[in-house]
Amino acid sequence: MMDELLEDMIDPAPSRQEVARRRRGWATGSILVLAAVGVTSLTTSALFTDQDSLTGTISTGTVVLTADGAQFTMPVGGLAPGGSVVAPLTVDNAGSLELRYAVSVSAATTTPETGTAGSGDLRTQLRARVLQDAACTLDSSAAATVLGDTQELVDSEFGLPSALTAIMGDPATGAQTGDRVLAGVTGTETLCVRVDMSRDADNTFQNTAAELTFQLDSEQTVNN
Amino acid sequence: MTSLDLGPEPFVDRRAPRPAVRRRAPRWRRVTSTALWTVVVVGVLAYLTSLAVPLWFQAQGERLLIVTSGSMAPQFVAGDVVVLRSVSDASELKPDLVVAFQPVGSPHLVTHRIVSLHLLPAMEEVRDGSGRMEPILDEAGEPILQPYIRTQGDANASPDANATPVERVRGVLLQVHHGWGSVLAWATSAQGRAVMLVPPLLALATLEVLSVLEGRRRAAPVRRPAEDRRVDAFVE
Repeated sequence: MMDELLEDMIDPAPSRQEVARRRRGWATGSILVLAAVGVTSLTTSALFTDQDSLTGTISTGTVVLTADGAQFTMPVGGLAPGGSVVAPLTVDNAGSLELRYAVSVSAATTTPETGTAGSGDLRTQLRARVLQDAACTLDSSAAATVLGDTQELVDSEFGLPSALTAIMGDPATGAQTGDRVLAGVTGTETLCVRVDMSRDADNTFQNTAAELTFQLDSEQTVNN
Repeated sequence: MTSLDLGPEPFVDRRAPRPAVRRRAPRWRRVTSTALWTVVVVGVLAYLTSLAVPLWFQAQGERLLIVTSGSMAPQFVAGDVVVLRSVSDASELKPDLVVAFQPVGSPHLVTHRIVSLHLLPAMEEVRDGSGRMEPILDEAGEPILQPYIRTQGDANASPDANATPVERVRGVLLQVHHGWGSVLAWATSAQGRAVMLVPPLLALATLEVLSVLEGRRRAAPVRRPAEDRRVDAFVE
Protein backbone atom coordinates (compact mmCIF):
# COMPACT_ATOMS: atom_id res chain seq x y z
CA MET A 1 0.00 0.00 0.00
CA MET A 2 2.80 2.35 0.94
CA ASP A 3 4.62 1.57 -2.28
CA GLU A 4 1.57 2.49 -4.29
CA LEU A 5 1.21 5.72 -2.41
CA LEU A 6 4.84 6.60 -2.94
CA GLU A 7 4.57 5.72 -6.60
CA ASP A 8 1.54 7.92 -6.92
CA MET A 9 3.39 10.75 -5.26
CA ILE A 10 6.53 10.34 -7.38
CA ASP A 11 4.85 9.57 -10.67
CA PRO A 12 1.19 10.38 -10.43
CA ALA A 13 -1.14 8.94 -13.06
CA PRO A 14 -1.54 11.42 -15.88
CA SER A 15 -4.74 13.33 -16.04
CA ARG A 16 -7.21 12.92 -18.86
CA GLN A 17 -6.12 16.23 -20.32
CA GLU A 18 -2.51 15.16 -20.21
CA VAL A 19 -3.28 11.89 -22.01
CA ALA A 20 -5.11 13.77 -24.73
CA ARG A 21 -2.27 16.25 -25.02
CA ARG A 22 0.25 13.43 -25.42
CA ARG A 23 -1.94 11.80 -28.03
CA ARG A 24 -2.06 15.02 -30.02
CA GLY A 25 1.69 15.40 -29.69
CA TRP A 26 2.32 11.92 -31.01
CA ALA A 27 -0.08 12.48 -33.90
CA THR A 28 1.59 15.76 -34.84
CA GLY A 29 5.06 14.21 -34.66
CA SER A 30 3.96 11.24 -36.74
CA ILE A 31 2.51 13.48 -39.44
CA LEU A 32 5.70 15.49 -39.62
CA VAL A 33 7.76 12.29 -39.88
CA LEU A 34 5.48 11.00 -42.64
CA ALA A 35 5.85 14.27 -44.50
CA ALA A 36 9.63 13.91 -44.31
CA VAL A 37 9.44 10.29 -45.48
CA GLY A 38 7.37 11.38 -48.44
CA VAL A 39 10.13 13.49 -49.89
CA THR A 40 12.90 10.91 -49.56
CA SER A 41 14.18 9.04 -52.58
CA LEU A 42 12.79 5.83 -51.08
CA THR A 43 9.28 6.85 -51.98
CA THR A 44 9.85 9.22 -54.87
CA SER A 45 11.84 6.60 -56.79
CA ALA A 46 9.00 4.14 -56.62
CA LEU A 47 6.79 6.24 -58.83
CA PHE A 48 7.81 8.27 -61.82
CA THR A 49 6.35 9.76 -64.95
CA ASP A 50 7.54 9.74 -68.50
CA GLN A 51 8.36 13.41 -68.08
CA ASP A 52 10.82 12.82 -65.26
CA SER A 53 14.44 13.57 -66.00
CA LEU A 54 16.61 10.51 -65.63
CA THR A 55 20.35 10.33 -65.26
CA GLY A 56 22.95 7.62 -65.14
CA THR A 57 22.91 6.27 -68.67
CA ILE A 58 25.98 6.88 -70.77
CA SER A 59 25.30 4.61 -73.72
CA THR A 60 24.92 6.47 -76.99
CA GLY A 61 23.84 5.64 -80.49
CA THR A 62 25.87 5.50 -83.65
CA VAL A 63 25.83 7.47 -86.87
CA VAL A 64 27.03 5.34 -89.76
CA LEU A 65 26.38 6.35 -93.35
CA THR A 66 27.28 3.94 -96.08
CA ALA A 67 27.08 4.69 -99.79
CA ASP A 68 27.38 2.37 -102.71
CA GLY A 69 27.18 3.10 -106.40
CA ALA A 70 27.97 6.13 -108.56
CA GLN A 71 29.88 3.75 -110.80
CA PHE A 72 29.25 5.02 -114.27
CA THR A 73 28.97 2.59 -117.13
CA MET A 74 30.40 4.53 -119.99
CA PRO A 75 29.08 4.01 -123.50
CA VAL A 76 31.28 2.19 -125.98
CA GLY A 77 33.86 4.64 -127.26
CA GLY A 78 33.41 6.92 -124.30
CA LEU A 79 31.22 9.91 -123.67
CA ALA A 80 30.63 12.04 -126.74
CA PRO A 81 29.64 15.73 -126.83
CA GLY A 82 25.94 15.99 -125.96
CA GLY A 83 26.01 12.58 -124.30
CA SER A 84 24.88 11.63 -120.80
CA VAL A 85 25.54 8.85 -118.33
CA VAL A 86 23.69 7.95 -115.13
CA ALA A 87 24.59 5.86 -112.10
CA PRO A 88 22.54 4.99 -109.03
CA LEU A 89 23.88 5.93 -105.62
CA THR A 90 22.46 3.92 -102.74
CA VAL A 91 22.73 5.54 -99.33
CA ASP A 92 22.13 3.52 -96.15
CA ASN A 93 21.97 4.49 -92.53
CA ALA A 94 23.79 1.63 -90.84
CA GLY A 95 23.87 3.38 -87.47
CA SER A 96 21.25 3.50 -84.76
CA LEU A 97 20.47 7.21 -84.91
CA GLU A 98 18.52 9.12 -87.49
CA LEU A 99 20.91 11.15 -89.60
CA ARG A 100 20.90 13.92 -92.15
CA TYR A 101 23.43 14.06 -94.90
CA ALA A 102 24.69 16.33 -97.61
CA VAL A 103 26.52 15.58 -100.84
CA SER A 104 29.56 17.47 -102.07
CA VAL A 105 31.30 17.06 -105.40
CA SER A 106 34.73 17.77 -106.79
CA ALA A 107 36.40 16.90 -110.06
CA ALA A 108 39.98 16.37 -111.09
CA THR A 109 41.52 15.83 -114.50
CA THR A 110 43.15 12.49 -115.08
CA THR A 111 45.17 10.95 -117.82
CA PRO A 112 43.29 8.64 -120.19
CA GLU A 113 44.32 5.03 -120.00
CA THR A 114 45.23 4.82 -123.69
CA GLY A 115 46.21 7.11 -126.53
CA THR A 116 47.40 10.67 -126.60
CA ALA A 117 45.50 12.88 -124.21
CA GLY A 118 43.65 15.89 -125.54
CA SER A 119 44.61 19.36 -124.38
CA GLY A 120 41.17 20.39 -123.06
CA ASP A 121 40.08 20.34 -119.43
CA LEU A 122 37.14 18.00 -119.55
CA ARG A 123 35.78 19.40 -116.29
CA THR A 124 34.70 22.56 -118.10
CA GLN A 125 32.46 20.53 -120.41
CA LEU A 126 30.65 18.43 -117.83
CA ARG A 127 27.56 18.96 -115.73
CA ALA A 128 26.65 16.74 -112.78
CA ARG A 129 23.27 16.46 -111.16
CA VAL A 130 21.96 14.53 -108.18
CA LEU A 131 18.41 13.37 -108.81
CA GLN A 132 15.66 11.77 -106.80
CA ASP A 133 15.20 8.81 -109.08
CA ALA A 134 15.54 5.23 -107.87
CA ALA A 135 15.06 3.83 -111.38
CA CYS A 136 18.00 5.89 -112.58
CA THR A 137 17.81 5.48 -116.34
CA LEU A 138 18.49 8.15 -118.94
CA ASP A 139 14.79 8.43 -119.61
CA SER A 140 13.63 8.49 -115.99
CA SER A 141 16.32 10.91 -114.93
CA ALA A 142 15.21 13.43 -117.55
CA ALA A 143 12.00 14.03 -115.60
CA ALA A 144 13.30 13.40 -112.07
CA THR A 145 13.37 15.90 -109.25
CA VAL A 146 16.72 17.66 -109.12
CA LEU A 147 18.31 17.61 -105.68
CA GLY A 148 21.60 19.18 -106.66
CA ASP A 149 23.12 20.66 -109.84
CA THR A 150 26.66 21.86 -110.55
CA GLN A 151 25.15 24.50 -112.81
CA GLU A 152 24.29 26.40 -109.64
CA LEU A 153 27.83 26.08 -108.33
CA VAL A 154 29.83 27.42 -111.27
CA ASP A 155 27.38 29.93 -112.74
CA SER A 156 27.40 28.31 -116.14
CA GLU A 157 25.63 25.35 -117.62
CA PHE A 158 28.80 23.25 -117.73
CA GLY A 159 31.76 23.11 -115.45
CA LEU A 160 32.65 21.17 -112.32
CA PRO A 161 34.28 22.53 -109.17
CA SER A 162 37.84 21.45 -108.55
CA ALA A 163 37.43 21.59 -104.78
CA LEU A 164 34.77 19.80 -102.79
CA THR A 165 31.62 21.90 -102.97
CA ALA A 166 28.22 21.09 -101.57
CA ILE A 167 25.88 20.16 -104.38
CA MET A 168 23.02 18.87 -102.24
CA GLY A 169 22.34 20.24 -98.76
CA ASP A 170 25.15 21.59 -96.62
CA PRO A 171 27.68 19.58 -94.61
CA ALA A 172 27.78 22.30 -91.94
CA THR A 173 26.46 21.26 -88.54
CA GLY A 174 22.71 21.56 -88.21
CA ALA A 175 19.80 21.29 -90.56
CA GLN A 176 20.10 23.17 -93.82
CA THR A 177 18.00 23.34 -96.93
CA GLY A 178 18.57 20.34 -99.13
CA ASP A 179 19.85 18.01 -96.41
CA ARG A 180 18.40 14.51 -96.68
CA VAL A 181 17.23 12.57 -93.62
CA LEU A 182 17.45 8.80 -93.08
CA ALA A 183 15.95 6.96 -90.10
CA GLY A 184 18.19 4.87 -87.89
CA VAL A 185 19.03 1.26 -88.80
CA THR A 186 16.60 0.92 -91.67
CA GLY A 187 16.86 4.27 -93.43
CA THR A 188 17.90 3.89 -97.06
CA GLU A 189 17.36 5.59 -100.38
CA THR A 190 18.68 5.44 -103.89
CA LEU A 191 19.66 8.63 -105.62
CA CYS A 192 20.69 9.03 -109.21
CA VAL A 193 23.79 10.84 -110.41
CA ARG A 194 23.64 12.11 -113.96
CA VAL A 195 26.58 13.56 -115.86
CA ASP A 196 26.08 15.43 -119.13
CA MET A 197 28.74 16.52 -121.61
CA SER A 198 28.41 19.79 -123.48
CA ARG A 199 27.32 19.51 -127.05
CA ASP A 200 29.75 22.33 -127.84
CA ALA A 201 32.90 20.48 -126.76
CA ASP A 202 35.47 20.73 -129.55
CA ASN A 203 38.28 18.45 -130.65
CA THR A 204 40.58 19.52 -127.84
CA PHE A 205 38.46 17.42 -125.52
CA GLN A 206 38.97 14.23 -127.44
CA ASN A 207 40.56 11.50 -125.30
CA THR A 208 40.39 13.46 -122.08
CA ALA A 209 39.29 12.21 -118.70
CA ALA A 210 38.05 13.54 -115.38
CA GLU A 211 37.50 11.90 -112.04
CA LEU A 212 34.44 12.96 -110.08
CA THR A 213 34.37 12.56 -106.32
CA PHE A 214 31.12 12.59 -104.40
CA GLN A 215 31.47 12.98 -100.67
CA LEU A 216 28.61 12.36 -98.28
CA ASP A 217 28.74 14.05 -94.87
CA SER A 218 26.32 12.93 -92.20
CA GLU A 219 25.36 13.99 -88.70
CA GLN A 220 22.79 12.88 -86.20
CA THR A 221 19.53 14.77 -86.03
CA VAL A 222 18.87 14.30 -82.33
CA ASN A 223 19.82 17.43 -80.38
CA ASN A 224 21.22 18.84 -83.59
CA MET B 1 15.77 -14.28 23.72
CA THR B 2 14.97 -11.44 21.61
CA SER B 3 11.86 -9.48 21.51
CA LEU B 4 10.45 -7.78 18.49
CA ASP B 5 9.37 -4.26 19.09
CA LEU B 6 6.63 -3.36 16.85
CA GLY B 7 6.42 0.31 16.30
CA PRO B 8 3.22 2.17 15.93
CA GLU B 9 1.33 1.22 12.84
CA PRO B 10 1.77 3.65 10.06
CA PHE B 11 -1.04 5.98 9.55
CA VAL B 12 -3.12 4.83 6.68
CA ASP B 13 -6.14 6.55 5.40
CA ARG B 14 -8.73 3.83 5.61
CA ARG B 15 -11.35 5.84 3.86
CA ALA B 16 -12.50 4.41 0.66
CA PRO B 17 -11.05 6.32 -2.24
CA ARG B 18 -13.44 8.72 -3.73
CA PRO B 19 -14.28 7.86 -7.25
CA ALA B 20 -12.96 10.54 -9.57
CA VAL B 21 -15.82 12.56 -10.80
CA ARG B 22 -15.35 13.28 -14.46
CA ARG B 23 -17.37 16.01 -15.89
CA ARG B 24 -18.77 14.96 -19.19
CA ALA B 25 -17.68 17.33 -21.96
CA PRO B 26 -20.45 19.29 -23.61
CA ARG B 27 -21.96 17.86 -26.76
CA TRP B 28 -20.56 20.49 -29.11
CA ARG B 29 -17.11 19.76 -27.74
CA ARG B 30 -17.44 16.03 -28.33
CA VAL B 31 -18.76 16.51 -31.88
CA THR B 32 -16.00 18.96 -32.68
CA SER B 33 -13.37 16.64 -31.30
CA THR B 34 -14.71 13.68 -33.27
CA ALA B 35 -14.84 15.69 -36.47
CA LEU B 36 -11.30 16.98 -36.04
CA TRP B 37 -9.91 13.53 -35.26
CA THR B 38 -11.74 12.21 -38.32
CA VAL B 39 -9.91 14.78 -40.44
CA VAL B 40 -6.63 13.63 -38.92
CA VAL B 41 -7.28 9.94 -39.52
CA VAL B 42 -8.62 10.35 -43.07
CA GLY B 43 -5.77 12.64 -44.11
CA VAL B 44 -3.08 10.39 -42.68
CA LEU B 45 -4.62 7.24 -44.14
CA ALA B 46 -4.87 8.84 -47.57
CA TYR B 47 -1.28 9.96 -47.34
CA LEU B 48 -0.11 6.52 -46.18
CA THR B 49 -1.95 4.93 -49.09
CA SER B 50 -0.24 7.24 -51.57
CA LEU B 51 3.10 6.15 -50.15
CA ALA B 52 2.26 2.49 -49.79
CA VAL B 53 0.94 1.80 -53.29
CA PRO B 54 4.18 2.63 -55.18
CA LEU B 55 6.28 1.03 -52.43
CA TRP B 56 4.23 -2.14 -52.57
CA PHE B 57 4.99 -2.50 -56.28
CA GLN B 58 8.63 -1.60 -55.71
CA ALA B 59 8.93 -4.33 -53.07
CA GLN B 60 8.05 -6.80 -55.81
CA GLY B 61 10.72 -5.47 -58.15
CA GLU B 62 8.28 -3.39 -60.16
CA ARG B 63 7.81 0.31 -60.72
CA LEU B 64 4.89 2.49 -61.57
CA LEU B 65 5.03 4.92 -64.44
CA ILE B 66 2.45 7.62 -64.91
CA VAL B 67 1.74 8.04 -68.61
CA THR B 68 1.59 11.61 -69.85
CA SER B 69 1.25 11.18 -73.60
CA GLY B 70 -1.09 9.39 -75.94
CA SER B 71 1.35 7.74 -78.32
CA MET B 72 0.30 4.27 -77.16
CA ALA B 73 -3.45 4.79 -77.44
CA PRO B 74 -5.70 2.89 -77.18
CA GLN B 75 -3.75 0.46 -74.95
CA PHE B 76 -3.04 3.22 -72.50
CA VAL B 77 -3.42 6.97 -72.57
CA ALA B 78 -2.33 9.99 -70.60
CA GLY B 79 -3.45 9.64 -66.99
CA ASP B 80 -3.02 5.87 -66.87
CA VAL B 81 -0.40 4.07 -64.83
CA VAL B 82 1.69 1.24 -66.22
CA VAL B 83 3.51 -1.32 -64.11
CA LEU B 84 7.05 -1.96 -65.28
CA ARG B 85 9.43 -4.79 -64.52
CA SER B 86 13.11 -4.02 -64.92
CA VAL B 87 15.14 -5.83 -67.56
CA SER B 88 18.45 -7.43 -66.67
CA ASP B 89 19.33 -9.05 -69.95
CA ALA B 90 18.83 -8.17 -73.60
CA SER B 91 17.45 -11.65 -74.27
CA GLU B 92 14.33 -10.70 -72.29
CA LEU B 93 13.34 -8.30 -75.03
CA LYS B 94 11.49 -9.34 -78.13
CA PRO B 95 9.25 -7.73 -80.72
CA ASP B 96 5.74 -6.73 -79.65
CA LEU B 97 6.72 -6.13 -76.04
CA VAL B 98 5.98 -2.66 -74.70
CA VAL B 99 9.00 -1.12 -73.01
CA ALA B 100 9.85 2.13 -71.28
CA PHE B 101 13.18 3.53 -72.36
CA GLN B 102 15.22 6.69 -72.38
CA PRO B 103 15.90 7.69 -75.98
CA VAL B 104 19.38 8.86 -76.90
CA GLY B 105 19.64 12.60 -76.37
CA SER B 106 16.55 12.84 -74.20
CA PRO B 107 16.23 13.02 -70.43
CA HIS B 108 12.64 11.78 -70.58
CA LEU B 109 11.14 8.33 -70.81
CA VAL B 110 9.19 6.96 -73.74
CA THR B 111 6.94 3.91 -73.55
CA HIS B 112 6.58 2.28 -76.96
CA ARG B 113 6.29 -1.15 -78.54
CA ILE B 114 9.36 -2.98 -79.84
CA VAL B 115 9.21 -3.32 -83.61
CA SER B 116 12.48 -5.15 -84.18
CA LEU B 117 15.77 -6.07 -82.54
CA HIS B 118 19.14 -5.33 -84.11
CA LEU B 119 22.78 -5.99 -83.47
CA LEU B 120 24.81 -3.03 -84.67
CA PRO B 121 28.57 -2.65 -84.59
CA ALA B 122 30.08 -0.38 -82.01
CA MET B 123 31.81 2.45 -83.86
CA GLU B 124 34.67 4.79 -83.23
CA GLU B 125 35.99 7.73 -85.18
CA VAL B 126 39.01 7.15 -87.40
CA ARG B 127 41.87 9.28 -86.12
CA ASP B 128 42.69 10.86 -89.46
CA GLY B 129 40.63 13.98 -89.13
CA SER B 130 38.17 12.87 -91.77
CA GLY B 131 35.38 12.21 -89.31
CA ARG B 132 34.83 8.74 -90.71
CA MET B 133 33.65 6.01 -88.37
CA GLU B 134 34.87 2.45 -88.27
CA PRO B 135 33.77 -0.59 -86.28
CA ILE B 136 35.50 -1.41 -83.03
CA LEU B 137 37.01 -4.89 -83.26
CA ASP B 138 37.40 -7.47 -80.53
CA GLU B 139 40.51 -9.56 -79.91
CA ALA B 140 39.49 -11.98 -82.65
CA GLY B 141 39.22 -9.15 -85.15
CA GLU B 142 35.44 -9.31 -85.28
CA PRO B 143 33.25 -6.23 -84.90
CA ILE B 144 31.82 -5.78 -81.44
CA LEU B 145 28.05 -5.89 -81.79
CA GLN B 146 25.66 -4.07 -79.51
CA PRO B 147 21.94 -4.82 -79.11
CA TYR B 148 19.45 -2.16 -80.14
CA ILE B 149 15.68 -2.00 -80.34
CA ARG B 150 13.51 -0.18 -82.85
CA THR B 151 10.27 1.04 -81.37
CA GLN B 152 6.98 2.58 -82.39
CA GLY B 153 4.01 4.03 -80.58
CA ASP B 154 0.77 2.23 -81.40
CA ALA B 155 -0.80 5.55 -82.30
CA ASN B 156 2.12 6.64 -84.47
CA ALA B 157 2.22 6.06 -88.20
CA SER B 158 5.89 5.17 -88.37
CA PRO B 159 8.62 3.76 -86.14
CA ASP B 160 10.72 6.06 -84.00
CA ALA B 161 13.53 7.69 -85.93
CA ASN B 162 16.29 6.46 -83.66
CA ALA B 163 17.08 2.94 -82.50
CA THR B 164 17.74 2.66 -78.78
CA PRO B 165 20.58 0.80 -77.05
CA VAL B 166 19.18 -1.96 -74.87
CA GLU B 167 20.92 -0.50 -71.82
CA ARG B 168 18.54 2.42 -72.04
CA VAL B 169 15.48 0.22 -71.51
CA ARG B 170 14.06 0.91 -68.07
CA GLY B 171 11.42 -1.77 -67.94
CA VAL B 172 8.92 -4.02 -69.65
CA LEU B 173 5.22 -3.34 -69.32
CA LEU B 174 3.33 -5.81 -67.15
CA GLN B 175 -0.01 -4.19 -66.41
CA VAL B 176 -2.01 -1.09 -67.12
CA HIS B 177 -4.16 0.63 -64.49
CA HIS B 178 -6.49 3.03 -66.20
CA GLY B 179 -7.09 6.30 -64.44
CA TRP B 180 -4.62 5.77 -61.63
CA GLY B 181 -2.23 8.30 -63.01
CA SER B 182 -4.12 11.46 -62.24
CA VAL B 183 -4.85 10.31 -58.69
CA LEU B 184 -1.30 9.18 -57.95
CA ALA B 185 0.22 12.22 -59.64
CA TRP B 186 -1.92 14.48 -57.50
CA ALA B 187 -1.28 12.48 -54.33
CA THR B 188 2.48 12.62 -54.82
CA SER B 189 2.57 16.26 -55.82
CA ALA B 190 3.38 19.00 -53.34
CA GLN B 191 -0.16 20.25 -53.62
CA GLY B 192 -1.66 16.82 -52.99
CA ARG B 193 0.55 16.15 -50.00
CA ALA B 194 -0.29 19.53 -48.59
CA VAL B 195 -3.99 18.83 -49.00
CA MET B 196 -3.60 15.50 -47.20
CA LEU B 197 -1.32 16.63 -44.37
CA VAL B 198 -2.06 20.27 -43.64
CA PRO B 199 -5.72 19.76 -42.60
CA PRO B 200 -4.75 17.07 -40.04
CA LEU B 201 -2.10 19.38 -38.62
CA LEU B 202 -4.60 22.22 -38.45
CA ALA B 203 -7.12 19.89 -36.80
CA LEU B 204 -4.56 18.90 -34.16
CA ALA B 205 -3.69 22.55 -33.58
CA THR B 206 -7.38 23.34 -33.13
CA LEU B 207 -7.74 20.50 -30.63
CA GLU B 208 -4.76 21.87 -28.73
CA VAL B 209 -6.21 25.37 -28.65
CA LEU B 210 -9.54 24.06 -27.39
CA SER B 211 -7.75 22.08 -24.71
CA VAL B 212 -5.78 25.11 -23.54
CA LEU B 213 -8.92 27.22 -23.36
CA GLU B 214 -10.69 24.54 -21.36
CA GLY B 215 -7.72 24.30 -18.99
CA ARG B 216 -7.76 28.03 -18.36
CA ARG B 217 -11.45 27.97 -17.69
CA ARG B 218 -10.99 25.16 -15.15
CA ALA B 219 -8.12 26.95 -13.44
CA ALA B 220 -9.96 30.26 -13.10
CA PRO B 221 -10.05 31.38 -9.36
CA VAL B 222 -13.27 30.62 -7.53
CA ARG B 223 -14.90 33.67 -6.01
CA ARG B 224 -14.61 33.31 -2.20
CA PRO B 225 -17.15 34.50 0.35
CA ALA B 226 -16.69 37.99 1.67
CA GLU B 227 -15.78 36.85 5.25
CA ASP B 228 -12.90 34.78 3.90
CA ARG B 229 -11.49 37.77 2.15
CA ARG B 230 -11.81 39.69 5.35
CA VAL B 231 -9.78 37.04 7.24
CA ASP B 232 -7.15 37.11 4.53
CA ALA B 233 -6.94 40.82 4.91
CA PHE B 234 -6.52 40.43 8.65
CA VAL B 235 -3.78 37.86 8.28
CA GLU B 236 -1.90 40.11 5.94
